[in-house]
Amino acid sequence: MDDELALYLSQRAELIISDDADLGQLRKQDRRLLSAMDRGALESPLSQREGADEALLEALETDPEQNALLLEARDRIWPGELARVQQLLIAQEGDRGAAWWLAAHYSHLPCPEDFPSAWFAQVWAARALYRRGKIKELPEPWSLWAGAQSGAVSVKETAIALWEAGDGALWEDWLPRLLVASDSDGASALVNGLAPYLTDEELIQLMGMSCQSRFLPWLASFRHDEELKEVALREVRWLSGDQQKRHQGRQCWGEDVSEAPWQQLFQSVPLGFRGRLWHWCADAVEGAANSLQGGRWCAGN
Amino acid sequence: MRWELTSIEGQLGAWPAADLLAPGLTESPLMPDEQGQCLIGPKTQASNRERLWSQIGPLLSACKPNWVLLPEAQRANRDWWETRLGDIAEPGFGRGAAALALSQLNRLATPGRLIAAHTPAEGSEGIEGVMALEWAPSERGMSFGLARMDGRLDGKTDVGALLNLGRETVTQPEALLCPGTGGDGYLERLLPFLAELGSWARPEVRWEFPEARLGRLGVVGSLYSWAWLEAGYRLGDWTGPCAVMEMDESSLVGLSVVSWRR
Repeated sequence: MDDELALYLSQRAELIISDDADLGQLRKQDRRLLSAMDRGALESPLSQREGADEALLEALETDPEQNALLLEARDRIWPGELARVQQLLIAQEGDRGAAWWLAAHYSHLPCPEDFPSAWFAQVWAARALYRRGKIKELPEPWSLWAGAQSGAVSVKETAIALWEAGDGALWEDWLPRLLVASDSDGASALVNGLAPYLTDEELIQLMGMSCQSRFLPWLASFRHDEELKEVALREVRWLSGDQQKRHQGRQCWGEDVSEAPWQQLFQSVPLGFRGRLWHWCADAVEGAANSLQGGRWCAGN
Repeated sequence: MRWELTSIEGQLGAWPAADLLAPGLTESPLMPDEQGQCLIGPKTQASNRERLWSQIGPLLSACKPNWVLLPEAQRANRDWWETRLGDIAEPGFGRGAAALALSQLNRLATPGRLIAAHTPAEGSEGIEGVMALEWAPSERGMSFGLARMDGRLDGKTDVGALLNLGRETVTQPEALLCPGTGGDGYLERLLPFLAELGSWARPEVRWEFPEARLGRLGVVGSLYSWAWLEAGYRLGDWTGPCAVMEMDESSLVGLSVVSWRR
């Protein structure tokens, strides 16, 4: 990857995690990439129509979350590119982490055949298969994960089983779906059950991610704790938004979860928090929070 | 009727205009001189109108209808311009004339050109530029739900009435392309009519200032914005109806609403 593109990607990565930046800023940034690629103004082979495959596959397999953007931009300029490259990724040897990541985020793409062994690929394979209703293809402990989402299995036991299986890795990507599926008591039981495994910071994040307004007073009480203040108040913001609204039950960005205007939040929530919406909006979105232009809302399709 | 942008010609400061529509990943390459100006070439003894004419002349196309958009200040020289342009082109003054030109083009339904030129006044910041956009009827591309110039040279222009017409055409556009850089005062005349913006002022509507990253382009900024809008559709930056507001020093204002089909 040449310096110009690497610099662009690192600036963009900083923007994506910012709690102050909005979707408009990301769109402006991505317009620069799209128009430069469209005009052939970039030197990198990744931005050339022909001869990019080797570098592209390497970039995707090294870090699909960051580098999928390049493939998405290519697909925008040369439609069909996403599906073509997915076939190449599926044909590769190994765990096919990039192919599973793409399948988890784009419902029209095919999935690799065998369930992978590496944890990263497993997390995205579970999401890809669950999204397609292929629950029977999920091995343990992911079959529990699917069962817990339909209420057939305890969310707390599922969370502990998955935490132990993956040593807590990528919990922000698989755990929130269990919180979405929980009622208030279930969420409390899950948080309590996992507490012994978590650092203080993780526990605070988990409480915020649960969207349970009952955790608000406890989170707010950390404002006097120098060490944990920042992380706790960030969760208060996730729950009550910038208007500091409080509801009964579950809430997100100041809105009651049962009637939250997700499509509007998808546009307006700061970039640093947007990734969390995916767990709540599940199939209404194509792409990821760090995808080209922040992913696409396509409910009803 | 749908329209495709078939060519973008011209120059902004030292750069081909098309390059500045896709400037790469770095910031704008325009380098202003100590007066804050980016000129196409060094200033000479020629008057402003002669300088503008020398830039516009080569971009006129004798075999197609042409519309030439000139700075509002050139309205005083209308006769001079009409003599120069003859029956090859129709002159318009100020950015609002772009909406009028596009509505005439849309009615003619044949390929045509819009050409604009601007040179910053002595002592003021800005980019000297000339641009020509050529449009042709097409299966795909942009269609005009509204393209209207309105106002009175001798009095106050009711921007509110134009906005009402815009909102009747589209309740809430995906993006609203605003004139100028945001810091040049072009939008000030909108202030008395904020209530008429209604749903267009909601946070979901993207207010875009395409010229803001370059600098003051005057009437050329109008064509730059149209090219930016078209590229935005092509690149999927927006897909729904968009509105384009044309305002500057002129009493006349323009408003267009467009949609797009791939």
